[in-house]
Amino acid sequence: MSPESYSASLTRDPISTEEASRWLQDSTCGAIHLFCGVVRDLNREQTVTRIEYHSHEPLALKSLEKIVAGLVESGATKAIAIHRLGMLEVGETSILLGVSLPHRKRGFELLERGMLEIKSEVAVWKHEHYTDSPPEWIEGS
Amino acid sequence: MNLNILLFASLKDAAGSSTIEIQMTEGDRVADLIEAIRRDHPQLSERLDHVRVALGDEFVTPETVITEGAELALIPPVSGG
Repeated sequence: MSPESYSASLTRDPISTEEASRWLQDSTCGAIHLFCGVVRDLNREQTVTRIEYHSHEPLALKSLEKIVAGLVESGATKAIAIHRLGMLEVGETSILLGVSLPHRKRGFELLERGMLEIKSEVAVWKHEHYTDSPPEWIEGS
Repeated sequence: MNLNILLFASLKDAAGSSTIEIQMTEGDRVADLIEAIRRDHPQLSERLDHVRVALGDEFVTPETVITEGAELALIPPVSGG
């Protein structure tokens, strides 16, 4: 597994799906899978105006690297994860996870596994802002 | 030894600060650190049952021995993605 086969990053800039898709291209791959998590305007019956993403950055980056390296070990030819930090408006992409591989079926499974790992392991927290009440921290269980 | 512990998310709000200082002694483990925080910062107590502890860029276990200068952080349940 070469270091060029996976990529993990945290960014305060908008995430480009086109750049990620280009990075995933490989002549041996017939499938490129991209998942984008996007800020939505409703959570727990409250209207969300924006979400600020906070992180323990060294810890989060290390976890993200382990996750995409694991996807390559499990059959992806390439894997990429980009997590956005800072204040995001509704509609902006907060997370991109992508894999490329020769055939599609395994790719769907790897994307789901990767997202479950990101949501349980990567040290990032949402601070949700609402129209009618003060911001709240969202913490997993 | 005095250690500065990093706090995040609701822990940071509950403490009113992004760090707390804890006095530990040589040979203390992560589990001892949690008990020291529970004693010195009771406003954090109910959240401590659900936190993990990180040393630098790695999670550590309750048995990990703490050394001087350790960069420790309390990690509440995460909510990224």
